[in-house]
Amino acid sequence: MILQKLAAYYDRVSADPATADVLPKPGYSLQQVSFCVVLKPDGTLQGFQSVTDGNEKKPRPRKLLVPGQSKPSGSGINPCFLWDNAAYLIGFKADDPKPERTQESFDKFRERTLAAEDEIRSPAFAAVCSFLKSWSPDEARERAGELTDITTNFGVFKIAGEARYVHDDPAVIAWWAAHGDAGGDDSTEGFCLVTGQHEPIAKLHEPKIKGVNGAQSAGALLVSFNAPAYESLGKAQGANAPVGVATTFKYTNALNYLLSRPDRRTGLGDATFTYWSDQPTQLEDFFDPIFGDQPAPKDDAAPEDKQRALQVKTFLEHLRDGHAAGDAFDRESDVGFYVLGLSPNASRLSVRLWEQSTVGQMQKRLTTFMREVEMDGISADYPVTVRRMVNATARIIGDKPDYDSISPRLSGEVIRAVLTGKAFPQELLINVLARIRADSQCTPIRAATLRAVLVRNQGVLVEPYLNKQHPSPAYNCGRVLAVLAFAQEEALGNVNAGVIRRTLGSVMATPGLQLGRLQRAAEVGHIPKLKRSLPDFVRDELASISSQLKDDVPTQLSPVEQSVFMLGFYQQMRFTESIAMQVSSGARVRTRNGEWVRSNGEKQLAELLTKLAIPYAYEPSASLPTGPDRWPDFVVPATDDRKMIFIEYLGMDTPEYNDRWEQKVKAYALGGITEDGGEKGRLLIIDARKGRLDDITIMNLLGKVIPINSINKTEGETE
Amino acid sequence: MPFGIRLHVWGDFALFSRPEFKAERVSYDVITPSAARGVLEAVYWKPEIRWVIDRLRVLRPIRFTSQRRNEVAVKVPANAVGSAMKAGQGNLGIYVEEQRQQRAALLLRDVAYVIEAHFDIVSGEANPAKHLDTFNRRAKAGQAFTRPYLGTRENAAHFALLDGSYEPHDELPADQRNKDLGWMLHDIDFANDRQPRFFHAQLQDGLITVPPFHSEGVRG
Repeated sequence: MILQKLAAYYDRVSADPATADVLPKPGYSLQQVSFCVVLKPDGTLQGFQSVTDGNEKKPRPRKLLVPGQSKPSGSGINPCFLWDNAAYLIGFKADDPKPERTQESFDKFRERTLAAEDEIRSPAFAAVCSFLKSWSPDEARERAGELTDITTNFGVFKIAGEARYVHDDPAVIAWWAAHGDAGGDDSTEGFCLVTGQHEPIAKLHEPKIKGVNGAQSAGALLVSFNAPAYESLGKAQGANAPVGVATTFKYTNALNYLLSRPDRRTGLGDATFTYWSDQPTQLEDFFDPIFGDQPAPKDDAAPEDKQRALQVKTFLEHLRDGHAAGDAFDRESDVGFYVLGLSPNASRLSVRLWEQSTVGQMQKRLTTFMREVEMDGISADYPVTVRRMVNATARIIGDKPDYDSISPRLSGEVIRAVLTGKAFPQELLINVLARIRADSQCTPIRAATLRAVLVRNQGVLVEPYLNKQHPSPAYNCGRVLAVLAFAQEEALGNVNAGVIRRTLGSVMATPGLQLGRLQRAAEVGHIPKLKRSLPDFVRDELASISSQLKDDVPTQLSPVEQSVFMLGFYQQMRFTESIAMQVSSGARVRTRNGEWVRSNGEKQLAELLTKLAIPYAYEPSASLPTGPDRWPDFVVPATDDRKMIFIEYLGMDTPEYNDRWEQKVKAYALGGITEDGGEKGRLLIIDARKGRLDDITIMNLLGKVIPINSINKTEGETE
Repeated sequence: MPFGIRLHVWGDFALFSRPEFKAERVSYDVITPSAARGVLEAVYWKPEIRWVIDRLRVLRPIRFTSQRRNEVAVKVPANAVGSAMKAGQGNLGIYVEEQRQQRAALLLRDVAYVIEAHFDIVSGEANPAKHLDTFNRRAKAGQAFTRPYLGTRENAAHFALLDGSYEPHDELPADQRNKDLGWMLHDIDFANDRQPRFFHAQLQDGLITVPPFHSEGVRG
């Protein structure tokens, strides 16, 4: 199927008028041309010109479409038609060790050109012929000075005053199409296993494939039988797998084209990946960022680069949120989409990955992936890509990752998992854990990777943000350690990776043996040294985590549980660090239950809920799908007769506060939570923007959604 | 088919090499009739019969994995063997260190198929019941001349005769049940200069109907 789909891609690109000239036509090939011989119309030499690709900063030879295939390697004399290197074209070779051979090459070239003299009726071609008849290599040697620089690659002919090259002359093209490459057409007829037709069968699958990282620079072959062990049933070379000449031409050129475009290929690990779809699709254009790490364009980058970066970001956001960019995606969802991963093996290429699916399926898998790698600390400007996931397993030496320590096979397997939607390689989890243990660092990417593997492979649910009500004891042990680490750092400053960070590995593996001791040490040595209201804050956090743990500290944790521990640690760390700043500066208010709420208004609401014996959680976890403010204020758990209730307290009346509130309402709606009772729950808004409300008013509002008879009043309470 | 058999075949790995990706192997998505015939012949075969594959059913999701192995670049040439036999002595060894080649393979993981086939009597007495009985007995007992394999010898196959006592689970997911698999190798025509023959394989609700070798659908 690979060859068939590549050949179909060739057909698609050639048929599209916008890209019709990008691919070589049968009988032609793309070659690097660095100079041309400019002739006067009568055939005498006017001069030599260098041919570059138009990039003024770094001029390089230009790729031109010339008649015939690449020059074969070897020591024979193989003149090409109307193009060749300087030795054949004009008999010039810089620092020539064998002038007779150069002379011979030139003679053969002249012979080949003159053989068609009578058949091609074109003044340009006639000029070339008369030039070749009168030219001698000695004249070239006289001009060695100007020639040496420009004759690095191949050369072509041009007539002064004409814009096109001689080989592009219509008469020449027509003749070439009719007589073609007389050199190598000894192919026999046979059954092509790609098209199912009887056709001439290719002996060698040329042109070679270039652009695979690590393959030999002259190009490698995808289909080759270059040793006796690879031949079967007495067949030789191409007969081992009969593929038609036309199909061979199509697939090799299509693959070369794909590998030459930086936006259609990525190198990852030991393989190079390329992808395409049956028709032009959005996914084709924006697939690249999933793999690689496109750095955000610098401020002085070209406007096209910035625009592209913005498009990519928008596309990825749409992909993650699942409502991909509108109608275009729906129209395209049945279009076939293919990913091919190639690995080099000296002069051969092996297929590392071949994934054949549709745009819709691929989009679903990518959406799943992006949702799995969401993590507190990952910003949209630096999203988790496959490359970054794999780099998370690299050792960090000093401050920089040591990319050589990454297993090359791992990248391939991770990409396979992402593109097929199947399980991640379990070694990814083990590797990342080992790195965390060795470096004592959990970077956001490592946390995201752990979460992705846990969610996909193990089915263990961990949210992107801290979940204060997570049931797993391992998670809560991690949270404890984070609070203790925070306390130590705040109290003692940066003590050269303090005791707690140093014991991360052992606490992770055997929390039951360590946490008690560490907690006592913190209580004695660290917490009393904290300033202002931080001791209370830390003790409140520990108390609330302990109530989740319920003295159920596990003695030993398996690697999967250790990953959950790690995520608890990481998420609690981020949460604590951000809240602690507010606590220190007095921006937070403590309720009687030990929560640190954002305002006195929220404190009032919290204490009312307690008085009415309504169970609640304050900012339990970031459960809103999008938006800057993901934390619901108060969440009352669901009961048998009603769904979850989300209570939002509005305390300020500034434009930006109101803006954020608007966005939050939208996020609630997206999540299925509305004031009238959506599918996920009901939203209750306590609007105190114009001024603080009194207890009675708030109780009445609460009474509207929570049935009165289920509100137990404590003794001695009057309405 | 009055004298047809149904064999449940499964294994951890399978490698049905595509002809074009023979050096760095890539597997077909499903079992080829040629490989199915190989499994049956390993269980029971005599020169008097010829196995003909009728249908192939795919039972498990099509999953790929890749691996690399060190192999050698040469084969022991047949004429060298011939001349050594005539001469009574000869050097037929391969010096592995000099001929090392690492070859990658993209193979199938966790496969299971049901092979429906029948055999033709090619020579000898026309007693199909005898052959059928022998096959059934051997398949039930787990007997085979050599261990059946899925494509290449190192991918050993497990087999069980489906005689009605149980039906294997069909675990092929809905999005893989209908697929056009392109031109697939049917078998090698050993009678005609060992030419490969291909047929257009279509997976329809998890089933591939294999045309007879000498029919119009099989071309080469």
